[in-house]
Parts: sequence; C-alpha cells; structure tokens
Amino acid sequence: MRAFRRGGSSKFEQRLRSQHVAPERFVAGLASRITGTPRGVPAGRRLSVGLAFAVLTLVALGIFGGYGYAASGGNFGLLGPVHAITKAVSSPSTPNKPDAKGDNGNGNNNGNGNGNGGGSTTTTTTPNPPAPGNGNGNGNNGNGNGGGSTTTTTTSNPPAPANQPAPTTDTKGSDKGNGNDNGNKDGNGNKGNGSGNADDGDDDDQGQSPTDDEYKPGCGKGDKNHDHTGPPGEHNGFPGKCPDDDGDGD
Amino acid sequence: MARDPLDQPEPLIRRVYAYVAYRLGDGADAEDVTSEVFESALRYRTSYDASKGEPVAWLLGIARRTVAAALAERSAYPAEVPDTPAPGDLAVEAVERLALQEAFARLSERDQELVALRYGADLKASQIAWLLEIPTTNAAEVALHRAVARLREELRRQDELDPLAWPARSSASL
Repeated sequence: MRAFRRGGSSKFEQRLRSQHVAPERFVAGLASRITGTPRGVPAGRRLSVGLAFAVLTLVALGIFGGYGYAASGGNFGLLGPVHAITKAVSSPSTPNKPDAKGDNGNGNNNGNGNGNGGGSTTTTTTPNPPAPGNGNGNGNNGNGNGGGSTTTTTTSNPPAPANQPAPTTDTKGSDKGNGNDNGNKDGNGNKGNGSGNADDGDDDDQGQSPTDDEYKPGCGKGDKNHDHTGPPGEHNGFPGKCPDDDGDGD
Repeated sequence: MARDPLDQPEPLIRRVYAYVAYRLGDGADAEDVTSEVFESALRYRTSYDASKGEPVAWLLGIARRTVAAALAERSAYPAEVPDTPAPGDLAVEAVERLALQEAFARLSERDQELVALRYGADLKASQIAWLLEIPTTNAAEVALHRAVARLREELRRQDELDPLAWPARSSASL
C-alpha cells in the first residue's frame, strides 16, 4: 500500500506498466490525424461572430441610407398588390335603383375597368334589380384586364317583371360590355366601357303610366331594332290617337 | 477560450491504447478501439469541460464505454483462444507478457478495470475513484491494492501449475 502511495516502485509494477505499449507507427498516425483535423469553433464564438456581422450590416445600412430604401421597397412590394385589390374590390358596380314611378327604363352604365399589371384581380359586379316599369336596359360591365389572372363574376340581370304579356315591350337595353384588355405592366388597364341603353326613344315620357308606354305602331314607340312589317303608319285611329309627346300638336 | 483536450495527442494515445490493450489484448482490436475513442473525442471535443477533470480522464470515460461495447460484441461472437506458446519459441519477455495476460484475464471485471486504469492509463487513485464512482480516493487505493494482490496470486498459481511457463520469473520480481 505504501508502495502505491509513493508511485509504485516495485519491479512488478514496472512490469505492469510496460505490459501494453502502443506501437509507434499507430501512435504517430493517429496523432497526425488528430492534429490535422481543424478544431471546431465553440458555439459561443459562432454566436458572437454572427452578432458582430449583424451589427456591422445595420451600421452600413444606416450610413448609406439603406433603411429608407428598404422601407420604401417594402411598402411598394407589400402595399402595391393591396392597392390593386382594394381598387378592384371597391369598384363593384352599384345597382341602379328601380324607378319609383315604374314607367321608366333603366339604363345602367356600369363600366368596370381593371388594369392589372401582374397580380390577380377579382371583380364583383352587382346585378341590377329589375325595374318595375318598362324598358330594362342594362349595359353591364366591361372588364378590362391587362395580364395576370382575372376572376370576373357578373351576375345576370333579372328580367323586368312588368309588361310581360306585351311582345313588343321596349327592351332596347342591351348588355354591352366592352373591356379593353390592353393593360400594361404598370397596372394601368384601360377602363372597360359598359354601355347600357334603355328605352332611349322615350326619355320624355316621365310620369306617364305604363300603358302609355306600350307599343303603338306608327307612334314612334316601337323598338328601333325591330323591323316594322305592317302597313305604313296611319296612326290616327289605330287604336287611337298617338299621344302628343313633344307638344307640338302633331 | 476553452482548452483543447487534444492539444498534445501522443501521450494521450499511448495511455488510452495501454488501457484498451489491457482490456482487449494487444493488436488490431486495441488499435481500432483506440481510434474509435479518439474519433468520438474529436467529434465532441467542444463539450469537454476542463473543470471536471483532465483530458485523459475524459478520454478514458469514452474509452470505457467503447471497450464495453467491444467486449459485448466479442462475447456475442467469441474468438478462438490463442494457444500458449512453447517456452523455447518466443523470447523470455514475450512469455512473461503472455503469462501476465492470462493471469489478468482470470481477474474479475472490477479488478481488471482497476489494474488497466492504474497501470495502463496511468491514472491517479483520485481519478480512478471519479471514473469508477468509488466514494473516496482511499477506497480506490485499497481496491487497487487488493486487485494487484489477486493478480500476483494468479501468477503464482499459474507458476505452480506450469513451472516452465514463465522461466524468467523470480520471486523478487513479484
């Protein structure tokens, strides 16, 4: 025991120490492999290097005005599509109110022009409610799209409820939607041109009853798109005198 | 900056190899396991904590686990036991080495570990106590003394059974 405390001086202990000696070639080879391996960088050092790089980047940006540039770029990149969508969503056509009197045609001139420079645009078109009176003409919604995907939802106009029995009810209104799809990259699409024409021969019959607005051959109440195949107009007496619309006594 | 535990690898390699060779025997197996130990050490060198001990103690912790795995594998696939060489075939030193190896192999696992760590890895009693979770350094010294005594007894018994096996042995050297 005392010999152990002194470091083991007996021959037996020396023999035990020299019992297994590593081959020199093995030791040299393994040592060269170990020393040739690059030492890994500690995690703390990696973190400090990363922080230093971040600080340097921020300082450089501050010096050269990169913050303002980054902020403006961010606004453009983020808010540009938002503006485009807002514009598209905020411009759905407002439905025309039906004429309270019930005897006027409704002309709807809702032209929706959507210029799209690459983003997607969604256009929603509100249908026009039917007018209770005559002559529903709805020119619906021209949609122009200049590139990108466009989803256009157009709800058809409901039929006018009045004057159904009359075969020649003035239904001059036509669904004309003219969209110009020449949108350019800058998001400037030409506005679509929607034109609605309703009862355009009778703008002066305000306040008259629906009966007055019925088709009367030869009285100028006809459908201009409808060819008159009957005898030449002899409106006096058929079925009655034509109303004097313009008040000139004719 | 943390100290690199593998800064001076050669003395560490010798000590680790000696420990491994005690447990597994000299040769290719010991070299392979020693290499494996240092590969693990290279991989985890940044996790070395100098406050917990010297690099050799840290390396021997890795070596003990690696040796245990190698021994488990060896028990699953037992190798042939080499024949004891005839006395005149090898040099006296080699014969003595083999006799000691046989005696060592008859020790218990705990005694083998104690002797390998003390005379192979050249650890102090305090380091052995820390590695083997012996409560005190004094207890480690006592355990080590008993292990060496049992090794001597094994050699003596071997000599009685085969007096020609270790011709250079003398009672003074034991």
